Amino acid sequence: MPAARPTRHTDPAPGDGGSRAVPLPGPFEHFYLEEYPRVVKLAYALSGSRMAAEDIAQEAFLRAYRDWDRVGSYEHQAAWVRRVAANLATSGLRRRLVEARALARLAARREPALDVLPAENADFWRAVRALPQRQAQAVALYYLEDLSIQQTAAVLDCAEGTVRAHLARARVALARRLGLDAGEEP
Amino acid sequence: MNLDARARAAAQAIDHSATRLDPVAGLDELVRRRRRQPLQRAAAAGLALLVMVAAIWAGVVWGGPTSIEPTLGPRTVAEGTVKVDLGRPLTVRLSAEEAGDQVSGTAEIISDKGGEAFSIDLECAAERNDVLILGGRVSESNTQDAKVGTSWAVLLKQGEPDRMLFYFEDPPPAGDCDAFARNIPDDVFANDNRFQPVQGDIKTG
Repeated sequence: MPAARPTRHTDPAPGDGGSRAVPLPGPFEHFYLEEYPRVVKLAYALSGSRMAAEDIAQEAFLRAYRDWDRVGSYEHQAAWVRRVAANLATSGLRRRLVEARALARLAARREPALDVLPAENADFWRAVRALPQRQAQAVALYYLEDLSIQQTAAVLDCAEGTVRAHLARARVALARRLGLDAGEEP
Repeated sequence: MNLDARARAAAQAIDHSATRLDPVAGLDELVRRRRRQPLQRAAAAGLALLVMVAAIWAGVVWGGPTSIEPTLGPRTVAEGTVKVDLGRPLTVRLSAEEAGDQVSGTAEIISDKGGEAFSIDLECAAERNDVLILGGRVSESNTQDAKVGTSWAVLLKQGEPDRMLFYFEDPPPAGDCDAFARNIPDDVFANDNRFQPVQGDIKTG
């Protein structure tokens, strides 16, 4: 980034010096391989971008790795990384930052690993992304991840009643937008 | 088809779209990104001797007469998008206004080579040595060179063309944004060559 004049220095973190390889801890590697595909799909649904979805997931896991001493001790590590990815995917500026990086790397990169969605399904997720941020996140977690209300609440770090309210409002809005029967509430 | 059925079908479509996804390749990429960060920090440290900042007028002047008129509503302090080369080509979007003695707005700095970008929540503005100083804290960043929470200032020297420089402190200094702007060392302003010409217009109030 732009050069600047630091008046104070922050010493590099231990293990960060030079270009030495930084080995990944075993538990993190296991966690990553287990959860990465699901987090990419969540990011795809919420961002709508095949290119950005992988970068959003990478960014979420990179944050988990940087802070693995703390995150690794959590009971709900998977919920933590989903929350980060969901926030990255639905926050305007954050998503632009990730998309900018994804675009920059595109020329030197393979085709995105994600396929284009059939039009009808793409329309559904587009309607989801038009919802308020928390409603969109609740819908994606509930339907795509097949999480329970309780699990969705754990990811969103809110009460179960709040998730129910988000889902109820989202269902009404989606049904109206897509011309569907809202059906029964979960 | 009701909403639940449509949602389940759309979820399945996402699942089917990811059959080529390779978690192992993703892990390799993550390791590469982790390794690149120390190199990026080293590059930033090398560039750090080159740059500084830009400036703004908030209502307090150091080293010059004050000419601020009271205003009833918010007034624009700085507004515009410019390109500038500060060690690398950048796009800088400034939007700052002042209401009473409160300054608010953002400065978005985006690398034209793609990838890196960060945003500063602007909290103060001042003028010093004919340089407009816009100061604040980094609120969003995907680069280690501008960590979230650190104090940054955009320094703008008006002229034909305007010239710009960045200044930062990491860790952020004690005190408020006004103190941060006030305590920028004099030598930052002393060397004109540090300020780089911008392409584009910035409207200042």
